[in-house]
Amino acid sequence: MQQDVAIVGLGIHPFGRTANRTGLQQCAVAVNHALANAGVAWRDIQFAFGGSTDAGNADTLVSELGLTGLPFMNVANGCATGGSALAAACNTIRAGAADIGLVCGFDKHPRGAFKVDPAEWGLGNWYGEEGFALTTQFFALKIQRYMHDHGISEETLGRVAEKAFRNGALNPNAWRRQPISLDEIMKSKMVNEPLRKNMFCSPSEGAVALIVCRAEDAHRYTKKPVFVSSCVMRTRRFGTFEVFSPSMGIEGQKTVTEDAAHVAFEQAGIGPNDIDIAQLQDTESGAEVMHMAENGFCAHGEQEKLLREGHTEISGKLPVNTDGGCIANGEPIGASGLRQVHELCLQLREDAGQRQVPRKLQTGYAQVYGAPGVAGVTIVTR
Amino acid sequence: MYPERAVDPELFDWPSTQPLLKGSLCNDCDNVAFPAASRCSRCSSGAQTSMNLSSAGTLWSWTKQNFPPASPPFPPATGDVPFSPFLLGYIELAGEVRVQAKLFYPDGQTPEIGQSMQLVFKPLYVTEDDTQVIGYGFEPKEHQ
Repeated sequence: MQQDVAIVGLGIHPFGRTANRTGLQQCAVAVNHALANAGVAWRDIQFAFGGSTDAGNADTLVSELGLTGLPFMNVANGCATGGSALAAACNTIRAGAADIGLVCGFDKHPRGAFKVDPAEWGLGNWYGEEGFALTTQFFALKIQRYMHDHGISEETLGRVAEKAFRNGALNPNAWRRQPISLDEIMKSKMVNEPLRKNMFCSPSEGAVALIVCRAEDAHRYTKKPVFVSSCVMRTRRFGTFEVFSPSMGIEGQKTVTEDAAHVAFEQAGIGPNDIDIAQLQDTESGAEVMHMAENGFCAHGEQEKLLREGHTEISGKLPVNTDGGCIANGEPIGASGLRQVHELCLQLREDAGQRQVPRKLQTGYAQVYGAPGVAGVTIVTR
Repeated sequence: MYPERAVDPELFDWPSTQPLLKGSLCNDCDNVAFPAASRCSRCSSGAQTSMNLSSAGTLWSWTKQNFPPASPPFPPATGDVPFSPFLLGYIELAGEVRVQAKLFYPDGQTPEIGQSMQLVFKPLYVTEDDTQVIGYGFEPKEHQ
């Protein structure tokens, strides 16, 4: 296992709606927290990678933080922005180009479903005129087929959302902090069959920052470093079913998440059974269900039993989305991937407060998925 | 009667005596693409031949769009044509490809994965210069 990069500083700006702060200002707050957490000053940071989708250019942060002249690379990979930024930062350190750097992600989206311009995704305008330019439809179509093939019930979708709100209620940085009963979730408005309103995340705001450094220097900055075992990003291969697909091949192929997971486990030298806690992309309930299997944590169809038995609860064998995930935090695209890693670090450091997993954690796993078929996986250890 | 046109002439010809969806066949690996591709997404070959896709298939998955998609690109609701939820899904055209399509069912009928479907063309919206735009979709075969 290559453990040459450590995460030594954590910063987050609460997710949800913050009317009086721009996305960039929220990110500056997160960066300052991360710097303080690592006990370093902004002038000590040698490089940065960061990005947002709707809230401006990350490198503009130098105006808020100080004009030190550091190289600051903007990353724009949709939902995989955070994962890509972290991967790039790890490679910078591994290459010996720098000793300590910043990784950050932030966003601030308008209310309502994401507005999609088909041309930005290589599609003709007809795709939108027909009414297909909506990410929510993809998630519904994928889980609908999955439920048909693997015997997953609508109630299991409800249980995922119920867990997300219950965990969100324990997280002071979450947006949705009220538990919602399974009954209420199952009666909420139908958005795209079989997915209901309370099963979906909503576009929101928030920011996350991490300070990374050479593993051998980690103890200079913190008593509780978390090491990056692998951090990979992949795009889709032929034959997979992804967001914004006017068509797809009939022959089977692994999903982009399965591809990213495989490479990440290989690089880390461990397997799914070695993971103690996971953060899986839960754009909606169905995604968490499918991603449990795609990342190797169970067989297809087994989720039905695992959810019923509380396997993925904070007290379960493999806690999933202990911070409430996207469902309770909302989806600020640029920040979501790093929120997942931030939560893993808090849990591994035993700093997660009320939602701390009540047993010793050694390894954590984070996976993001987004348009147009990209996935990022990060594995961390302490 | 308004003059009519296809939502995109790359997808199908309209008006036409026998309209069919237009795809492409890879000369090197036989992969079928929709819409027609200039390069194969399976093997990256640039040798592609135009082909018409089959008009019959089976339902692979479906959902219903219960809220209006953002306009543009979705045609905005007008006084006389308010938004109404619509069905959509993927149709598996055997030996070819799965295509995303609107689904047209009789009121109250729930789609069933695996059922036989037939290609249809329906009015989508009328443009500001009074042209009727036609879209494509599939309906269950027993409906005919």
